[in-house]
Order: sequence, then C-alpha cells, then structure tokens
Amino acid sequence: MAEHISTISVVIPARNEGPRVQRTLESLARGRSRTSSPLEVVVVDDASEPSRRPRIRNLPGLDVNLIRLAERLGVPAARNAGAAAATGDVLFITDAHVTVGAGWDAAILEHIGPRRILAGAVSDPTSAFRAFGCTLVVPFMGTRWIRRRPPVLSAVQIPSCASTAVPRRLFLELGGYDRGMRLYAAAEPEFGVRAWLAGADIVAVPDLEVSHRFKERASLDQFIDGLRPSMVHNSLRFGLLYLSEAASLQMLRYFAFRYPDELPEAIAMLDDSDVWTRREALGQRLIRNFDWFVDRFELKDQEGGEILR
Amino acid sequence: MADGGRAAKLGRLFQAMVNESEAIRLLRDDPEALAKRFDLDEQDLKSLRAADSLVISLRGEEITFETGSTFTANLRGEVTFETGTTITARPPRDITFETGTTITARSS
Repeated sequence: MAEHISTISVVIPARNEGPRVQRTLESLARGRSRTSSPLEVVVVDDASEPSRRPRIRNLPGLDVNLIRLAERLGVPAARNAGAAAATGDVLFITDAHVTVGAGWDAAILEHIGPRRILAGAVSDPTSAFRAFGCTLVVPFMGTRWIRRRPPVLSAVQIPSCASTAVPRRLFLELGGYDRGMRLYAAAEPEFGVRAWLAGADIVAVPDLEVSHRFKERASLDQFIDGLRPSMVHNSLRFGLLYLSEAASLQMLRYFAFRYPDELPEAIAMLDDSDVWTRREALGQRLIRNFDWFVDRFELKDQEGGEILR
Repeated sequence: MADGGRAAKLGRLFQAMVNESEAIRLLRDDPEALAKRFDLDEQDLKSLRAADSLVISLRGEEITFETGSTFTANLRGEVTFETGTTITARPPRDITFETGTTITARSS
C-alpha cells in the first residue's frame, strides 16, 4: 500500500463529438482543485467524420494529447488506446460530453488505492436523474443504474463508463477493456466483473459527480443503428466468458427470443473469435469465479430468480 | 473455472448455429429437438427451458380475451408480439400488464 498515487490522466474517447470535447476540457480545467502541475488529458478520436472531429484549443493547466485512430475501433478500444498513451498514476475514464463537479480531482486522489477502482456518480443535466454505478443484469448481461445514493466507499458491482477512476497500473494489470469486444456495449460491465474477480475492489464515491449529456431517443437510435449485431455479440461474449454452462444455455435461448434477427451474425462473430480460449485463460488467471460474484452481491437473475450454476 | 469440456460442447453448438440457420430456429422454437440433435442432456434442456420464464414470445397467434378472462398478465418477463399476432379484447376492454413487463412489437 506504499505505492504513491498523485497524478491523474483523463481518458476521453470521442467519435463525432466536434466542439463538445472542448466544453468537456473546459469543465475539467474549471473543476480542478489541484493546479500545481498540468493535467494530462488524452482524447482519442475514434475515426470521426472529418467535419465532426474533436475541436480542441489550448487551455491553461491542461496538457492535451489528441490521438486519432485510423479506423473506427469502438469505445472500449479507444479507451484502451488512451490508457496506453497516458502517463498519470490514475486514469479518470469519462466521456466527451460531460461536465464535472468542483474538486473532482481531489475526490479521486482522496479515495483511490492501488487495487481500488472508484465509481463516481452520473447525472443528467436535463432531469433529476442521478445514478451511482450499476448492477449486472443476468442473463441479458446488461446493467441497471443504481439510483439510491450509496454510502461512500461501499461496494459497487460496476462503475459507470462516464465516471470511472482506476489506477493505471491496475488497469494495465487487468488488461484494460476486453479487446474482443466490438464497437459498443458490454465492455464496461465485463471490465467491472473482471476487476472484482481479479481481487480488486470497486467502491462508490458519490461526490465524484459527472453530469452526462445522454443522447436523445432519435440520436441514440441513429447511433445504435447498425451496431446491434456487435452489441448482441458483446453481450453473448461477456456471458460466455463467465457464466456456468447452464446459465450460458439459458442466455443463448433468451437472445434467440429477443434478438432473432441479429443472432446469426453475432454467433458468426463469436465463432470467429477467441471467446473459448479467453474463457480458459481467465479461468486460470482470475482468483475468483463468477459464483463468487453472485454470492458477494446476492445477485438474482433479471426476473428475481436464482442464477443458474 | 477452466472447463474445456463445457467450452467444447458449447463450441459444437455454436459451430452448428453458424452452419445451419435451422439450429438457431430450434434454439428458440424447439429446444427438445435441439437437445436431441446436439446430444444435450436433460439438465441442458432444463437450462434452455429456463429462458421461458424470462421471455414469453407469441408469434403469429391470435389471442382473444373473453370478458372476464385473465390473460395473465402475471407474466413477469418480456412478452414479444411478433408481426402477425392479433390481440383482441372481446368485447372491448382494457388489457393490463403488470409493471415491469416489456412489450415489444417486432417488425418482420
């Protein structure tokens, strides 16, 4: 525990975010309480369309590193690229369209630990919505928001992707976000589960609040359009990496009901992936198995039943 | 947690689903036939059937509610009415689904 953690790097994936990135940077600069040294921010442009690339101007106190990916790799891979380029002791992983609260950096440095990941709060500037991390939904392999404010440093299953602080060394030890995840969805809960199973803790820091601009319905539909097979693939991959055989079969049939149009393509993607060898490798590497996670959080399935073991 | 046998069984099932769209159809519509065809045991079949409590899928059926009937909206899971499904309340009455039930209208 003697490891000294004193510097933060902010990692921001951005695709077609244009001027919103600058406003996020301004908020980060404004909210800092420790200004004795520059704040490193790594913005990863996930192959934005030319007219919608991040527009960034210099800001006092910020050392911004803009990385452009040659092709669209998706949010998890963009975060991994940002983490690889970052040099701070802690990675604050957030989004390109957020406003942070005052003293966000102090909240991180006060509570972070070598094997501790912080789950900040996420709020919506247009409503009363506020959440403090997420719980896992099985066998859908998605998440539900935690709406009730938890005590500081209480255990959280999954940190929100817009407000996650993780020691860089721990992030690299864990292997970052699963490189087998495509484009969008499931990577964040998978990372949270893997962190727990690797012996790390994820704890709530409600005062580390990020106001996040959620996409409106039409914009979300447009964003997701074409991504669904990848989303189904990612969810199935997540389940197949950790669930028991029984729960995996239940999950497969559930997805056959729910996403019959997307399932064939998702199955083909899985068949062309390393999912089985990765499952084997995780089984050997992780110090806990998924049953531990179920017991630790008294997890039920999405309808309140027992999770199949 | 490492379990090569398990991965192999699921792997075979995946291979079949990649090569035959029929396998995916059986997964959804006829888990008994799927189990028989891919040498799944009773426990596997039970696991597949466990999805039934999460999703109730009604395809191309006509559901008529007679006065006083209780089409149970005691269904806790998701109810999917695919294109072609007709729901008629006779005579007209309200149909109520319990909180938490998701109703999805799928386009074909």
